[in-house]
Amino acid sequence: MKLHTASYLIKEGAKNVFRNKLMSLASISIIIVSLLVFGVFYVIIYDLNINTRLLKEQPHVVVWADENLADYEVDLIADYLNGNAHVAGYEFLSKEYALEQVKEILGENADILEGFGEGDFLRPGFMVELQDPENSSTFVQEISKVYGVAKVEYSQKWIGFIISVGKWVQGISVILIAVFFLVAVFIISNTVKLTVFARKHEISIMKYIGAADWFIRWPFVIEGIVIGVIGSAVAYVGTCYAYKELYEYLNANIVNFGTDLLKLATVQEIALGLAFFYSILGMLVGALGSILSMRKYLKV
Amino acid sequence: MVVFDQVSKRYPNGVLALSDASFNITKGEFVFFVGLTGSGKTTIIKLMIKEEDPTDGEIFVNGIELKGMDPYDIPYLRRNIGIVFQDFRLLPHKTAFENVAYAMQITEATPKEIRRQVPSVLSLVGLAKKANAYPDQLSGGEQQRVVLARAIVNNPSLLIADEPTGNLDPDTSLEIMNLLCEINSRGTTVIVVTHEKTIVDTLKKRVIALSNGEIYRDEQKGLYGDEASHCQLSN
Repeated sequence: MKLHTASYLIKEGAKNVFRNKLMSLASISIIIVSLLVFGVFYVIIYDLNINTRLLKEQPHVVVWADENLADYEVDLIADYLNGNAHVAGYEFLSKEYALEQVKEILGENADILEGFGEGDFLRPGFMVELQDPENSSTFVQEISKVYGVAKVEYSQKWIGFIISVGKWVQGISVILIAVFFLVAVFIISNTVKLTVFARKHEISIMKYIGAADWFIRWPFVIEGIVIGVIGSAVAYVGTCYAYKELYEYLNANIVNFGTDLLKLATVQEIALGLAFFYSILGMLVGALGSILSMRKYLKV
Repeated sequence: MVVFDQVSKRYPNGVLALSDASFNITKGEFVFFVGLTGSGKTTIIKLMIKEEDPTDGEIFVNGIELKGMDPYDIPYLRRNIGIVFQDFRLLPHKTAFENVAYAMQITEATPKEIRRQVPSVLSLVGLAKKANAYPDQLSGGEQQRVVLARAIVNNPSLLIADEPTGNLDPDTSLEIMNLLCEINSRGTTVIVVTHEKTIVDTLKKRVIALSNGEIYRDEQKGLYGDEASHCQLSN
């Protein structure tokens, strides 16, 4: 295709959008609604991923041994950890280390510990890093039964829950997005089909004159793409605005996002990905709808 | 230029529209097809532009056999054939200029070529001053002139006109026929399907007459003929 032909076809397609205002408006509305649904799931998944990642970065499982255990019994716990498939690695926290920690906490009052020996009353422990934090609860159940384990500190009890919720949301959203995508393509193809049907006389004239199928089809495809771009632009502005409002409301009223434990992505963080998906999906839905609706009327 | 060799056409509903038709139209000829409605004239045109395929026989247009033609080559065949319809078939959202230009745009002509060629053909058909008018702002005769301009703008070797004066008054009809003659005098082969006895009898060109899908008369410098006249009256 020559450059001037491409330019002509693009102009024709853009003109068609405004020539068929009502049809275009209907198609744009459908794209907006579909993309907004997509957007809701997109931000939910985005935020879940951020928080899952944050949770995974939280302190590891800490296994405390009984303070009365003999050294060889503590070694047995270490042997168990060496043989456990969930364990990626661990760091031994000696009684001396624990004592140092306590002294650090006590600060100037650390001298009250004098006479208590070299920390014999303190528990030795293991800071355990797991292969997959998803398996935390299983590991905790297993290690709790091991002889000599006095206490397991496990600040990530809900990691598994969050991850499984995330998986469900992702699964449901993939299905819903696919359904909405198909529905949007179907509705747009029918909307464009009405436009094409109204112009089938024109199309037959073009065919009689000797226009190739691609020459007739491209303005319709461009029309679909322009509709997609307009729809996705409106949906994008709407999503960003709504998310910004929600972010500010939640930040001010419900959760203290200053902590690292729970965090929502800022609008700036989601904006680029959202723009990418919206524009690709919008154009794809518009173009696909146009192509599907044209096939029948090109046979003259 | 156009060769029909024992061509028959039966439509899926069983109607035999053309039976064993054979003729040879050479380059630069002016030929009238006359006959009753349903006699097979329009089927012949549809076969020439490969809108329909023959049931039997062979058709050659510009030396190319249409039977085995790839569907992707059909647009290229039609670009070498100017087509004029009774109901004009102009694109309603385009001006006279744009309608004519469209026929060049599909051949990917440059904007410069279009700006040079379109005003020239619009002048030829006497519509230079109406270039920016839309079809609904033009009279029937003017619309048909635009169609003629569109049909010849790519300098086709063959021009087919299906009842080009069917919707026009006698004076305008004569003007259109004069234009067709002028186009023919420039070397373009012209095929006209018509019911206009006066025009056929006045111009005394080759006449191929059809009845019930059969060619029953093919004569040089022919007349409309009694049979066809009878048909016209009975219509």
